[in-house]
Amino acid sequence: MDKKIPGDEMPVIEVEKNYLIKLCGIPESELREVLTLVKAPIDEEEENIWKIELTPDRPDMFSPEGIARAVKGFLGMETEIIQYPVMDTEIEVKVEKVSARPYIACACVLDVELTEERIKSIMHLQEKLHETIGRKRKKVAIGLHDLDKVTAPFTYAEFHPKEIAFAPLGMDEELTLDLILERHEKGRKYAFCLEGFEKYPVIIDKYGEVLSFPPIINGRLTMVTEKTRNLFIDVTGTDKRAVEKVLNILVCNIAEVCGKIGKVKVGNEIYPKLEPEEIDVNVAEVNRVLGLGISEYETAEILRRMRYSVVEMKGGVLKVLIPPYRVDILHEIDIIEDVVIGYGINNIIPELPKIPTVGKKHRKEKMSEKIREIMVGMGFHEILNFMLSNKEKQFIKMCVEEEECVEIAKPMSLEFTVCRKWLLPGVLEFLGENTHRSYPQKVFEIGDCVIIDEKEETKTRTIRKLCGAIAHDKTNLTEIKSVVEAVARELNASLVIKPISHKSFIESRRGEIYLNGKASGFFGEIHPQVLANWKITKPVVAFEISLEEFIS
Amino acid sequence: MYRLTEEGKKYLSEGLPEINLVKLISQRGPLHVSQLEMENKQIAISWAKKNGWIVIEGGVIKLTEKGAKAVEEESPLLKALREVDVSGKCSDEKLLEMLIKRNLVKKTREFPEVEEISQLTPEILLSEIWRVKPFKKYDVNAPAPELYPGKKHPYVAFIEEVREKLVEMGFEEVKSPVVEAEFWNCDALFMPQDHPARSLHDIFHVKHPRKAEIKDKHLFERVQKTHENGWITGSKGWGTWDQEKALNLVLRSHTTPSSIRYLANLESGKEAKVFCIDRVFRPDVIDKTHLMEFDQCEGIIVGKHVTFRHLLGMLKEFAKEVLGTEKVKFVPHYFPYTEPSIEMYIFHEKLNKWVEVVGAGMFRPEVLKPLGIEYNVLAWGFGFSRLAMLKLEIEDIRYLFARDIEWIRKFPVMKCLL
Repeated sequence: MDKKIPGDEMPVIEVEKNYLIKLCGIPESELREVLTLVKAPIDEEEENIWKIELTPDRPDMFSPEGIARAVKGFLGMETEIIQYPVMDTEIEVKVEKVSARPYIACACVLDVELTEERIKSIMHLQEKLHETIGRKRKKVAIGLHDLDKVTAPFTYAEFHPKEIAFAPLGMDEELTLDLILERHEKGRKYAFCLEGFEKYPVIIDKYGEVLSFPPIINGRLTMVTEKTRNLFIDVTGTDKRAVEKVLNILVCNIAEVCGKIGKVKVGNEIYPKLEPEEIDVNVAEVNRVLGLGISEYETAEILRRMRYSVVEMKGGVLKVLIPPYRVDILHEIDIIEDVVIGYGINNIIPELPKIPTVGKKHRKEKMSEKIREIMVGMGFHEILNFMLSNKEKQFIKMCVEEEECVEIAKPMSLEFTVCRKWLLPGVLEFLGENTHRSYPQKVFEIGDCVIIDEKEETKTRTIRKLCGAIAHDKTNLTEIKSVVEAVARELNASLVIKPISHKSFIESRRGEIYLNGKASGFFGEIHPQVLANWKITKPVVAFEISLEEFIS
Repeated sequence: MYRLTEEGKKYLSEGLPEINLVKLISQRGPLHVSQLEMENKQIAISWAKKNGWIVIEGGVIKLTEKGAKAVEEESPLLKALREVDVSGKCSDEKLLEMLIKRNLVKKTREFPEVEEISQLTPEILLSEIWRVKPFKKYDVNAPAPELYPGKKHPYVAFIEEVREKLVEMGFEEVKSPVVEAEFWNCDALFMPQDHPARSLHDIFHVKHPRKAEIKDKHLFERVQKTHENGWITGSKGWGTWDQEKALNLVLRSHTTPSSIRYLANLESGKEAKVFCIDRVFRPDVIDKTHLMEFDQCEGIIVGKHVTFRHLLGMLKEFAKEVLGTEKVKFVPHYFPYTEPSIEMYIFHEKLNKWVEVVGAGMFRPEVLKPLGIEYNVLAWGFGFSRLAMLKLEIEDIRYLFARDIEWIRKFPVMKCLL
């Protein structure tokens, strides 16, 4: 159904089915089942490709290697945090001040054996990380390089756009940085990340050869191929934690299948930082949230399958180590989620909550339901319009002066630029599109409008209104007045009608409606100019009132 | 045309009083007036005298010869009365005059001669001509003009159904404003300020008016601290928070602000079940399955002892009552402000596959603690418009807002029932 959260599109990755099956080491049918249980269901499939839908909180699973690690844990084939081989290197990255992207973390993966499918899987991972946690490269960007093509030490510094030139990936000629932003496809796409900065970030080697122009593009020189034996990875960005975590994901997911992780000195720090963070998990809290009644021992067993390490159990509290590639653990509750996933949601017997409450409709809706009955009783058809409208419809076509209203900052189309202030324009638009249908036409709408109100927290107020209209050859003021009177009677409100100068109606055939002494709306015969604006060819009478007075 | 008056009808069935009188005398012999006991005594005596049927001597009524004859023969006047009753006419002018004079017969409107009755009219009913004329034969299968009763919009009728059901299940309805502060729409939900869902592409930002003013300063501060460093929630937080961003006005992009606003005002220690069905806004390209505004339905349960197990129970009940199925399964999922998070799938018989319908979870401590809520809070929500499409069997979501009176006129109300 709907994505619950706007913009929270679930990342979908394409994996080679057989590659994933081989990594997991279980039969296809079993794998299909397990994938849904570890938040990696197959969304679509083609012959040899599975499109797997992941969740944005688990970027470590954006590659087949990461998925396999979770699957093998879930099934108990391999548990706890893996100690990938790590070694020291002499490689150093000197870090200068870079305003556009202050943070950088680097690492190597040595002695890799890259097949076509492995390269594909790494590239895909890189791309997905850019899109999600990297916020389209603005927050985090990744560069992968063939280490043997350049010479350490490297320098991360900022340069004037014309100060330095190199051949970017996918191009043969050397271009200055500003020309890359202009001419290279990636340059145009990601130039927004560098907007407002005078100097741009670049990574160069000992001899000034360019490895990367983050977050735009790498140099052609260090392109990764099947022949690459040693990988160098740079991660740059605007958020230190995110930069470090992304580096961890990359090295762990690559090392999951091949190579040894090499440490790099970056500025004053040594990366990658793979020492697991520690967190306390209280088993009583686990049970308070989940209602499972599981023991310390069971909890620990589940957590080990979810690839955590449990180093201590004391007085109902587990000391849990978090794998270095997990970016989503902010709180004990995030571990508790993994407990329930490991336990198996469908193993839990659902139970109805026993909370004595009294159900109640909101008065606004209760009231609207009653009004609806009255209008239907008088033979009206209810219609439904969008709340988004535009100034032409709200004011110009209605022949009224433009008024202050809620305006949208970046509308998707000229059709929808403001929130409606009143319902009548929508009702007339409806009649204008039904001139080929049989008459009489009697329609009404009950809906929310938004008005400006400085006193409110949100500087606006949501107002429920009622609007009714009648269109046929012989309709007139009297007919709509009867309707207004009937509505007022049913509302149990006193009705006073006063003259009004409302330009949507014909002079002297229009009135202001006072309900219980308050100006609540108006009615009358729609002016022929307004009818012409909406392309309506029959006389129309209408009324509109606010129901707010009757709701509070 | 003539018809009988009430009196005329009475005489037709009971006989004319003067005839009744002479019959009585002829049976019993002369009678003293004071001994005579009968209905319409005065009328009877008066007419019998006028007709020369009786004489009264010293108070004693005696039959005349003419009177004796009248007993034997059928009364011409009664005959005339019967004729009028049957045919509405009288062949004898004099007798008719007499009947009218005695107020036994009344003239009614003249009608053209009809062989058979087609449209029944008040005149036909009054004249009682239907007693003697045949009805024209009608064909019940002849076409009749179409009639469309006034009615609620089908989608609104369906919303009312679901609302009714949720109220029956003990939920109280809550509302929140259409134009909302990002604070309520996102920050109070612990959505990081650089979350993609908060970009201009995914939420309608409002240009005018621009900034909200959050009245609950303490809450504002607690949310700020929670984002910055986790405050006392036990969380790491997101590291940064810009209060100017939190004050931006947007069109609410989901119904959750209504739940959050409710929780912010909930008395400590109170349990509750509330729901909301309302319009939400997202900058989508309009097509068969997307609109820029649609409706969402969501609910929360606050309870001292409610747990994840109850979330599943609640969802199952919801599937049974609202979605009409007990075939459900749950899969783990992700939402920024709930943990654990799940999705409920139901088995759709017609499509013959599992479809995801409801997202659910338990509000994160980073959401609840700043609101002052100590209990667990279960939350669920779904795209109401998509559910309506399934239920109303509409293939194109745009039809829910179609400006087509024919569609509304012809949509059967029964299809809107749960």
